[in-house]
Amino acid sequence: MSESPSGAPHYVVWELTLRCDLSCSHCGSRAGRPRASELSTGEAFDVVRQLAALGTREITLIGGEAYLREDWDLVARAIVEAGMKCTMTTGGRAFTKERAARAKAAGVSAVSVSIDGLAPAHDRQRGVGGSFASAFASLRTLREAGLDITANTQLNRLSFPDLDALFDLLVAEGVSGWQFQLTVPMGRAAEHPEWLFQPYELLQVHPKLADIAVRGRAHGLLFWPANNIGYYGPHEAIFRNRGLAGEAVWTGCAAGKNALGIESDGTIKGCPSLPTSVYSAGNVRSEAIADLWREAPELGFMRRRQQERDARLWGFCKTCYYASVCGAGCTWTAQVFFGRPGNNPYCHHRALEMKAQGKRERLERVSPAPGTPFDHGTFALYVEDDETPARAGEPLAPASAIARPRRRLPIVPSG
Amino acid sequence: MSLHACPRCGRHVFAEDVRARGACPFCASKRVLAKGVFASLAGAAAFVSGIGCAYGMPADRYVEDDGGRTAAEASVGDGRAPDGAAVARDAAVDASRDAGDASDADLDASDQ
Repeated sequence: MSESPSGAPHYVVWELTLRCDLSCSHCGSRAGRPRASELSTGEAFDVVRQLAALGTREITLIGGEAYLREDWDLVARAIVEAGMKCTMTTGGRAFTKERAARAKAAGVSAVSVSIDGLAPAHDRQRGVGGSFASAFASLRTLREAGLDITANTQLNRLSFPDLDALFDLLVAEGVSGWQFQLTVPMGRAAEHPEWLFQPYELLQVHPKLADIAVRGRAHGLLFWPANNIGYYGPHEAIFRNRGLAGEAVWTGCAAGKNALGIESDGTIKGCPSLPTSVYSAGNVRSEAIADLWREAPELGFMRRRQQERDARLWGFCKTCYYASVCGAGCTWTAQVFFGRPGNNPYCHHRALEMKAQGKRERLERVSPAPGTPFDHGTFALYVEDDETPARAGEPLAPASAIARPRRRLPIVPSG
Repeated sequence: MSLHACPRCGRHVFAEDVRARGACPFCASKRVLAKGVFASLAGAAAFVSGIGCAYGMPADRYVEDDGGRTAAEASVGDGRAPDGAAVARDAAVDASRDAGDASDADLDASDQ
């Protein structure tokens, strides 16, 4: 494989178990029951040792729900003792005082609780009544245990109207950071295309995020965009510099470049969100992580030479002004919409360019997802006249209004 | 290649492109030429720990900058949310930028 320097998996997201105590309607991994053959404690310790040797700086433990695995805090302690930072992401249904104390004792630095809007929107998405209240109770319990608390939110048509109210609640709880990711049609989320933003709606979403980023600074709430937020719109500097002054910009998907995902059965991917069927590089049970990192094309695709990376681009992204540095944004997002990377419909610059031409893009599901973890359906992209221009600050149109386009133009091929 | 944020419209433009066109390709401002220093692609980002991944990898937390450091290593303070002093410093930077924006408008008007 011709590559630029191999780098190191500085940041690792590790699904400790697929077992979960929530039943989220947008869950990409369709979590609930544990995988058939999850890593043993000894195997997990060996993964920790290998990652430390590779130069990993931080490991975030996720699930399912990581705390449902009996030895979760032993793994966390091993990570910390190996010199790496250990953080956790939780649905927060039952982060009890006992569990919070175990996290603190293990050396966990911070815990991010998933909160997807106010109670009605959150509970609907999380599939369990009362889960919003539980999530906030977990935030308090974790804070009282002395852990740094952060939040993460799925951005979609259900959660978006609640962001201002949620901002106030998170500030009041002493949350120090807030990560956003656009909901995309992976796993169970593929069964709810009506929850997903249409690409042109990003023209309303991104100004709101920029507003939150700037306001958050004054409250010690640091804005953190996930990799599928962007790209290169007028708020790019605010997004990439967390609402602070700075020069950082989006520089391409981090999957396999400086990030790594591990599934609970030992499957390795460049990013935990990527569909396993296409992006599995191998398994820690049969191969050393260092060998996979160095050799597996499923991990090294973002380390390939510029010419090879550019060859993956198609559609709008192929001719985009930012193609050489952006690389079509988040690989996961493009993959789950169109079944291949290289053309990302969730892009601020793209929506702006469309609008400048009096056009907008609309996604429509063509086929459902088959029903396995990290699966996805297929979507078609339509370009249509922008007859109802949206402006920042206006409420989103109801789903029924966007489901009936007034005029269709040629379909962008999805294959 | 390097990208620089146009002080007028906020869009990022390639330095080489601005030199060739003589103005921002998005808003036609010539002010972007006056900035002189063009940012590198991977500038240091502020860093906060503990924001994990709920599907959607946190962006560029450990992207290496030109000096071979990671964003985490290049971060300010102790890596947590900014303290009051940091916020005040950033507010001052913003105020300076706002003043620059005002002069941009004058400059752009004179460009016509």
